Amino acid sequence: MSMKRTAYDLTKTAMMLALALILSIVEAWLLPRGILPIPGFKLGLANVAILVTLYSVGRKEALAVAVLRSVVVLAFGGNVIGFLFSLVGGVSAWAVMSLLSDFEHISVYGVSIAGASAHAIGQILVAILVTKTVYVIGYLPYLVLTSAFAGAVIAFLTIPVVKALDHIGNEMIQ
Amino acid sequence: MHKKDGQFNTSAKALPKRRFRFCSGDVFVTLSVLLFCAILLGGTWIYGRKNKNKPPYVRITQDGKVLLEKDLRDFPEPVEYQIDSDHGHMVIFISSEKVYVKESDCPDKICMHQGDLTSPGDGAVCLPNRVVIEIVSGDDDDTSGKVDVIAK
Amino acid sequence: MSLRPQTKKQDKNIPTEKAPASFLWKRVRAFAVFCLIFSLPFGFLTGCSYEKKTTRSFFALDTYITITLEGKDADEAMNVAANYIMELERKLSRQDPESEISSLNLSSEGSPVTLSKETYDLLSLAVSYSEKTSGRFDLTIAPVMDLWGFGTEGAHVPEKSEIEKILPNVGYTKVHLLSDNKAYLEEGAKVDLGGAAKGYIGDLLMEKLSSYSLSKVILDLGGNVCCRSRSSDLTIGIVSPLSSDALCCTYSLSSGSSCSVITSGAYERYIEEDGVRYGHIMDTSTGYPADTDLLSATVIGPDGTKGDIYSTTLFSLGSEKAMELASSECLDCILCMENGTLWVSQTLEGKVDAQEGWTIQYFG
Repeated sequence: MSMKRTAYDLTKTAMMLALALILSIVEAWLLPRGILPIPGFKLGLANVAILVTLYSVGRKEALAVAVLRSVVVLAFGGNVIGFLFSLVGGVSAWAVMSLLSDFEHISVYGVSIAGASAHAIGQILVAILVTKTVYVIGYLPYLVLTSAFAGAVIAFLTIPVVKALDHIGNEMIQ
Repeated sequence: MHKKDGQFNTSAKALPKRRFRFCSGDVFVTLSVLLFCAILLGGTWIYGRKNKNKPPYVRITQDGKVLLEKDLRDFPEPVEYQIDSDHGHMVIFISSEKVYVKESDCPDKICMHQGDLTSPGDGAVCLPNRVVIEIVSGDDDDTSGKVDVIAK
Repeated sequence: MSLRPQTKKQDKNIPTEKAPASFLWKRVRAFAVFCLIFSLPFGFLTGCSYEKKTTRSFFALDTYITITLEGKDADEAMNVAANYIMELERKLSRQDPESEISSLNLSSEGSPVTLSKETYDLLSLAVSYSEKTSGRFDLTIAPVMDLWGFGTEGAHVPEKSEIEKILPNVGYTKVHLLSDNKAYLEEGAKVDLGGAAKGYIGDLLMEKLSSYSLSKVILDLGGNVCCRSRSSDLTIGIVSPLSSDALCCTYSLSSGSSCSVITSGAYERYIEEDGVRYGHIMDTSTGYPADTDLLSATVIGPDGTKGDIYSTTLFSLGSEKAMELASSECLDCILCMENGTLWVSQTLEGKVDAQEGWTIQYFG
């Protein structure tokens, strides 16, 4: 059973990594270019995958999804700046989410909203470092608000996925 | 052995507790995010208001270095400002009315999609070229034409 | 009615929550952690971009000094710099009878004086540059300068016989450097390090300040400028020799580099007698002011001591020889001519902008 469980965890992580990759592409495709003021900025749909992994597999695996997603996108012909954006954004989202998920009275919604905000802040920090201009901080409130709203939607999407994965797991073991 | 709809993971591994309904703590999270944004917005608003009556100027920086910093009124005739660097080539249109990126050899062309920059606070960023173009409300620290120190 | 039991059932799946006693505390803690997380990157940012700027001006080294520092350690570094200047002045000033230079001027072969490392280093640098310029720059010109008395009340054009009498005392070979920071002068010789001290002090200060976290350093030692900037480009104006409130050109220093800009000219210190202007830069072979077609010579480079010495030398040589020397010594310089031409080293192309009334020509 334990081996089955490990295998299932691995499968779930791999599935989520695949989902994260798809969502990275889908997001670039959904949001027309130039609609967000900073090129390469993402609202973080791929956070769904990190969040699901966090809730149904574990913290380390969630970090792995966050990091590997950026690496694979880079390997598939992304640029270095986009890689930095998604890496720093993803890791800060992961850090905040894995920390807040421990708190009583904070549900998936709170975790996801905070994670999405951290995702936005991480990306702005990269933008500041890349352009060496602090001025891009002016975009931050708008981007955080949009991201936070996206975060709430993401939490809503996460719940059925986590439940479904549990269901499959139970059936598999019995 | 397992509860029917229960958490699948029953091993010793600590998973975050599953709270799937909006809880009290979420209100705090949301409020913190909103507060944070409000503070930032307020800050930029106060900053913008302070310099409202001063003439705006355009500032172009690359890699954090200021390439051009000039009062928009100094452009009665439109000029095309060219930037050629290791990162790439750009042409920026500057007139007293508006500033926009006319040409850029960056792959995404997002800076060009930003359109016209007309009032203080407007800006365009081109990450591949490391260029930031901004319209800044002018204030006293307009140092163009001044020198930092005089040697004699 | 049907909703309630359902929610209860779901609640069972959630791991049991703790007693509501700690309810408020948990909320407060969550809020606190949240604020902390959100403020962290901005604390970091403001910590990085927080730049203190201080400026201090004071009289020292026979001139007016202005120091501008920007960066985290600005206040601390300012005190260190000001104290260091005072300390060096006590060692190097010829006006101060207690200084090491004054005691060196009283020394003789039998009684050499022990100098501090800084003074000794400057002395040996000055001697080696005197050699290099074959005496065009000479640190032992002091007796002649005393005769003319530039900048003092008794300034006058001396008699030719007076100069001829004193000229044999001039010569850098009369300075003898011994080991262990000891040195002595031959009978009648006197040194004045005024032509090199400011550049040298600038170098020492820049070195001393390099250990502090500063984004911008601008030292203005009475017109001898040493500066470095990490944050932005600096524009250094070079004053016009024709009018003290105008510039002849500007030099832009790109961020990340440092340089010293030192100008020599006879437009500030001079004596006017019978309609003739006598500038304060001497031709060491005649004891009379250098006969030059230059209004000023500016040397730009990393080495302030070298710049200070060579700007004097270039000025006294006149435009043609100055350009030759600058080319052979690889000096970056700006030579200011009376007709409004600025002779600028080819290596400075693109960095120097002429002001109105001046035209740039490159050489080398």
